[in-house]
Amino acid sequence: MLNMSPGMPSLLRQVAIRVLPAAIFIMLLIWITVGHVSDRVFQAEIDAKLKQQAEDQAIFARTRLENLVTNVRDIAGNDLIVNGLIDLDADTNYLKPFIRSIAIDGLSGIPIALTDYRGRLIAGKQLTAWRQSDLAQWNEQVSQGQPVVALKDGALFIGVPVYIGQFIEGMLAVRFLPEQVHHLLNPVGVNGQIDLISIDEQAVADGQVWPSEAMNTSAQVELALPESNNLKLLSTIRAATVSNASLYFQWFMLIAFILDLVALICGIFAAVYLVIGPLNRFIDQLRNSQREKGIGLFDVDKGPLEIRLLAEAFNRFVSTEQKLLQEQSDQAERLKTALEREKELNGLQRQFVSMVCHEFRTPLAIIDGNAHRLLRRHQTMQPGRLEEALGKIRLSVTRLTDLMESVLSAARLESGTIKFEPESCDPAKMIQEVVSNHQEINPGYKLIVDLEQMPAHFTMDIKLMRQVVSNLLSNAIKYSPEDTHVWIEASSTDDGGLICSVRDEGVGIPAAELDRLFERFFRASTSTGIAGTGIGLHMVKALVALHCGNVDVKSEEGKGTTFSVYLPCRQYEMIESMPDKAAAA
Amino acid sequence: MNCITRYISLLTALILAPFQLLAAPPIVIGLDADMSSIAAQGGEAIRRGALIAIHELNQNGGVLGRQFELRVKDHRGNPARGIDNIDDFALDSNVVAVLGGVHTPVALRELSSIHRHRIPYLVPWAAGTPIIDNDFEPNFAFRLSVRDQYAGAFLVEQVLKRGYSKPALLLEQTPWGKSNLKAMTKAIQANSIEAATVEWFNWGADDLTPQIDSLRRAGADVILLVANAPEGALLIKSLAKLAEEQRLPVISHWGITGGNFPAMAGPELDKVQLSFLQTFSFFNPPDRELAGQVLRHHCDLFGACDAADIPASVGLAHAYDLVHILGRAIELAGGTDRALVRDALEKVQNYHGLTRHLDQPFTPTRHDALDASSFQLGQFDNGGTVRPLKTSNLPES
Repeated sequence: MLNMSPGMPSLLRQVAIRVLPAAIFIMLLIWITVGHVSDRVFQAEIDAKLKQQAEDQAIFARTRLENLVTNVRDIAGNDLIVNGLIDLDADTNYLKPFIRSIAIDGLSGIPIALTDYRGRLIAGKQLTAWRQSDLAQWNEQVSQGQPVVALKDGALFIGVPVYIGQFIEGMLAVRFLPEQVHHLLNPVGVNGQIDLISIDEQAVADGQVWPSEAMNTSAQVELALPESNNLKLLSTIRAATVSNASLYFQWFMLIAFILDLVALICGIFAAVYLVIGPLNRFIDQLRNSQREKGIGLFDVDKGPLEIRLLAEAFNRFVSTEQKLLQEQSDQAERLKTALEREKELNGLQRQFVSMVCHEFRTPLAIIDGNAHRLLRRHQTMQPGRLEEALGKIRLSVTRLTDLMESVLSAARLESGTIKFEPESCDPAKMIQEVVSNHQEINPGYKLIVDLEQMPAHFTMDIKLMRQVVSNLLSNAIKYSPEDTHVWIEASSTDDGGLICSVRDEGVGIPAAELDRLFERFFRASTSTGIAGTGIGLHMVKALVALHCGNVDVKSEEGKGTTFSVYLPCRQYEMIESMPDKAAAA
Repeated sequence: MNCITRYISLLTALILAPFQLLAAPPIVIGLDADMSSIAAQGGEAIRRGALIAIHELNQNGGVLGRQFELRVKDHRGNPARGIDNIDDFALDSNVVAVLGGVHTPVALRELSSIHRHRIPYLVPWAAGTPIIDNDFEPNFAFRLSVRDQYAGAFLVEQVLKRGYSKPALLLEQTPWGKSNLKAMTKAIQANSIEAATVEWFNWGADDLTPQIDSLRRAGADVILLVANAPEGALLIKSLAKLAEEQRLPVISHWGITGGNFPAMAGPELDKVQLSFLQTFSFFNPPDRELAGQVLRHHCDLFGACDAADIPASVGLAHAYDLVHILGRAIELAGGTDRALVRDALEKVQNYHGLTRHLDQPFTPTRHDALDASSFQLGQFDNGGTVRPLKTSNLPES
């Protein structure tokens, strides 16, 4: 029923460990709080009911007691006045028949004393041993017209005034036994117990009238008897019999708690089945996907809607993250490449500067050397030697000039200040001039020119193309041993363009380096030991690119290199030099 | 009495004491009667009668050169109080005798104290036979009043005289009632009639209907009543509620006259035939001149000058006579020694009293001064005054 994935038990355990205790704690807290609140809420009600019931029962008992007192008064008033105070036959037993008629619910009192207006015992001294002080004290109260209700040794004593006419002329005291008192105050059906307690502490200390400790009561009401200033009715009510409201509520809370617990457990299982299961599968798929494919997308076409939505959102997140990561990776790679290139360029630049300095240094050294020789020996130097020296000086100057031109051109190219001014010109003438110039300064090389197929006119920037041809020719000469041939060939193409190639029998270029040949400051490995700046071919490519042409190179290491420049036939617009783009193209 | 008053009184006494020593002490007569309870009217009548007699004696110089003085105590009908009063009087050496008052039960309870203190006890209003026929020797009790032994016979005689044949006895449950039961029963038997029934009631009874119903069921044709004023009035009121033909006539002992019976009975009194025992009336006194004198003194001393304004006159007359007899006895005794006075009482002779002329009021074997020859029936007039019952007024059975 429940598709338990491998991780389910641990997940359930996690849920159980974290949720159940919290839930149980919360339920207990609720239980305790509500219980406490209900106790507070209902306790007041219970207390009120208890007190009310206790009061009612105390009032009931007092009424019964008052009725008893009234009965005794009636007896004393009707039967006893004449026979007790007027006609005393010195037979103390005469009281009994009259007092037997004192009845309330079957109680029968025992006459214990008849006193005169001064509290002196007239009759009864043989019935009980009484303290005269008790009688005198009672007589004092009875003489005021108030009955006395007193407790002694648990028994109830009622003293009532005896009248002759309108005057109180004596007192009749009647005793009711403790069991009769209990029956009087506690009829069947009373929940609780009503006791007479004496304010006299001795009676309380005697333990004769104090309620039983086993009553476990929660409400007591003391009701003083108005006719007596030394007695109280103490009504004690059992709390359990008064109100069940709190108990019902607490039972309700207990049942609610159990139901909540059951609901909680069912809820957990429902959550596991409906939510955690699919979620767990989702997590497992995620792990598997991760394990197998790295961070990849996964399919969720089952399970609750929330899980599917979660999976879709996750997929989108992953895709976005992947793109971002890829972009970051690419950018990092580009930055890395750019950095490496920059480093390389910096290296090349340093190398270029070094090379330029070296290039400048050599001709300058030659110039300086020959000039020094001339200064020292011009007077004794042979004319041929003089011409040689001057020729070397002039050659070095030319080299310096070319070198400066190259550096300046490179600078102009770098800064984009090379102006492109194409015009119709005679390309053959330009090439011939360049070849002648180089032949002149490199007489040891055989420069062969083939310009028969050249168009008479061609639109191009002649100054820039002169430099192109010059660089190519210069390189061919520089990287070829002396006394080798350099062929310069140029012709028109079928599309009206122009192609010019320079072939040498030089050191050649390794095939692996051909792609980098036109990079700024790049020098082939075969150029080691041969002076050069590394910017000539970069300049060639850039200047040819200005003409929308291209440069091609074929080379075989140790055998020679052929550079071919192609210029298309175009009507050019003024384009400012953009060396980076041109180099990149 | 506050401190200042007390000191002034003491100072006055101290100042006057020497003078008092020079004067003879008064002869004190104690009066122990019901002065405030159900028989207060009778007690007051006794007091007035005693005071009138004392007034006359003192006017004549007193006895043995000593003036008489009356000291009154109220026993409220409570025997215990009566006993205490007797004890208090006995402790006063100036008290030569005690005049009693209503009621028989009190007098009976006082006998022990009287004879312990050996003080003469003069009874003007208490009819219980045992008061005099006691077991004490010498007997210090003397009575000038009704004796139940005679009253019972008299009342039964009146029943027969009026043609009734089946009297019912309605008695208060006291020694007095029991005393009359004895006397009446004896008289009824002696006259060969039969009492319809005997019913009892207690002091303070508030309903006599059960007793009345019992009397009627028993077929009584007349009620012989022994009661004091409150219970007597209750009977009248209860009878008045019955249909006229059901109302039994009542012939009563004199107890009902000890209180303000007319006021207690109210207008119902006119609805019931009521007659009662009397021994004296200012309206038909044996000695009109003496009666007139007493009436004048009553008027002088108490402001009531009309015989109709003197309630309970029997008590007044009896007390008056007893005080005079006492005076004679003191004179005979030559002093106020109580024992000697007691003996002298038995020797007084030829006393012409308000109640009647007595050749010898008391003898050593007879301490009751009156007999049935002094008895008459009385009735209340419309004004509530006790008047002698006219024979013509008696209804025929």
